[in-house]
Amino acid sequence: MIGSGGDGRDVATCRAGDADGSGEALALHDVRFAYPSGPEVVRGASARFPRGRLVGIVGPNGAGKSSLIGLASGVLTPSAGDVVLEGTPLRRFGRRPAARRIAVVPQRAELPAGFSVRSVVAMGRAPYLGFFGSQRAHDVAICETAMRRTDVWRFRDTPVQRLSGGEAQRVVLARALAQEPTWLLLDEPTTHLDLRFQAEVLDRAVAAARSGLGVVAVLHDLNHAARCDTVLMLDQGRIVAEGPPSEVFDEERVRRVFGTRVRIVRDGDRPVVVPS
Amino acid sequence: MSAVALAVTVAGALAIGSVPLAPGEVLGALVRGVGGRLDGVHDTIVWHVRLPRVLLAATVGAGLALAGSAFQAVFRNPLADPYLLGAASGAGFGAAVAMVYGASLPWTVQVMPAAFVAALATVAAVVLLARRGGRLPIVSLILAGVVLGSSLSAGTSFVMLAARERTAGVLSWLLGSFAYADAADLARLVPLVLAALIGGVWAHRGFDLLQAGEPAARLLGLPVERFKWTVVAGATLVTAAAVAAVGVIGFVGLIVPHAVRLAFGPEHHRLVPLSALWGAAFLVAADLAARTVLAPVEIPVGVVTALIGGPFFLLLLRRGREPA
Repeated sequence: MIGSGGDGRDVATCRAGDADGSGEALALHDVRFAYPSGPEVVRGASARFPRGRLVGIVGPNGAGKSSLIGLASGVLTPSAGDVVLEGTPLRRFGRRPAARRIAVVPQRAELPAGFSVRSVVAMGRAPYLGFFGSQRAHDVAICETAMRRTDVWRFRDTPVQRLSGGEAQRVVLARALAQEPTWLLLDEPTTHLDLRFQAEVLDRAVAAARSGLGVVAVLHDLNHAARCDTVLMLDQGRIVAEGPPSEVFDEERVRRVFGTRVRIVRDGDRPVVVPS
Repeated sequence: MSAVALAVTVAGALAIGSVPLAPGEVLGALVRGVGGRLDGVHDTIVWHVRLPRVLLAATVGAGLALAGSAFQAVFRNPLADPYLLGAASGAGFGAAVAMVYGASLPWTVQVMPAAFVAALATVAAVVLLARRGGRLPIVSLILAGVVLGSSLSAGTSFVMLAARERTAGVLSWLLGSFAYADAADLARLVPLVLAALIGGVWAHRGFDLLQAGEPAARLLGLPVERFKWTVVAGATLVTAAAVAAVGVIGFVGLIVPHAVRLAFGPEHHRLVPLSALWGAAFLVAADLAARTVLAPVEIPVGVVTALIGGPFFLLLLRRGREPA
């Protein structure tokens, strides 16, 4: 196992992690982050993303939501604090072992012109293949399942530059699923999608969490976030509220954080946020 | 199909020249040469004059095209090329200084390392000069490469002219030429280019991942920085070896991978080996033109590739602007 051969402190971290169950989680411990010569965008955030849960991250523009996803995935390195994956600091993981555990669907994915949908999705298998190793039937089957689930199978031979924004977004989701991750991080996954696919992506996120994945999604629409198990509300780089949507979505809090008045009504257990 | 094209080009280059030979004669000479029993002047021409030259052209062409495809992949820039990035001019400068001022040490410990170090320093300087806040804009990269490359080429000319009594025949080296090709050049370059081919094919998945952007490549398991700089060093090494042997031959690394990409798609498990193959064919053909078009006068092959490559580059530059 990665990191298990490290120094004594590492082993201690592992044990401590297992004791409180965080060995099974992706966790942020008081992380801070600033872009070079910029202000601090994440100012001491702690969070746990357990397996089997769908965690929504909400907050106004510039609250640090995407940066938090970047830190959790290891694309950004915290200036202070630690990101811990299965009880081991994420920075101790090699890129390939990390990529077998964490997959990310970014806000604006760049797709390589001239590559077919099939080839882009196949990139999701890269963490499992050596450089010379070619795809086996197993890998091909995983990619096909991922493409069918995201409804891009019929585009499989289309060059990606011919796809619409929503189709491209689903290709990136398929690539992430092909990684067979334990954690799936989605940065505004519904942005480019029409209503039908927004609902489908959310359904898929819920289903992924039910199947045991840890799913984290930055969501603009509070009513989408209301379908999450847990919601983190971010404001100016800090987590200002954390809990089930019914508790976090409070008219006064939303007004304070987002600077706009809303009315919150109940639809069974689920809060519905109505702009007023 | 690609292999056939290379074979036909090589056969043509062996047959055509100041003494034209029939395909049967070429084949016969090759067979007799392999058997170790050369028979007559024609066999000598094929085996000792044309074959080393053609093989060297093929090796250098494959090496430069491999370097080009690698540079284009890691800089994600269809205009990156050993020549435009300044690697070739840097290598030329290093090689010239080593040739003129160096002790008479063997080529592999003097000229070649000097070319490599100078080329690597040039590429590093070009990247540093062109970098704008973590990004590497296409125009500033090419601008820095071309300007630094021109300065270094001028430096090379200066070094060569300042010591002209010791540098007879260097003008053709300066412009790139296979006129002095011999078996020793081949023995130096073939293993290196073969290693580059294996390395390039080995790296194909990494090249593909980088085309999805560096953050995505990282998230798909590629150690991006280490991978990039290893590739740059490798591609620079191949460039430096080629330049140290035969001088600066521009645009091969630009034209060939680009044409291969248009014809066979951008995925690197095909792009890398096919670039090597077509690079070999292209430079053999260019060298054939260099020695026949104005025969008996020989044009430096670097002039031929520049005559083809210049307009090609301008075309790419124009096309690159349209979609943005």
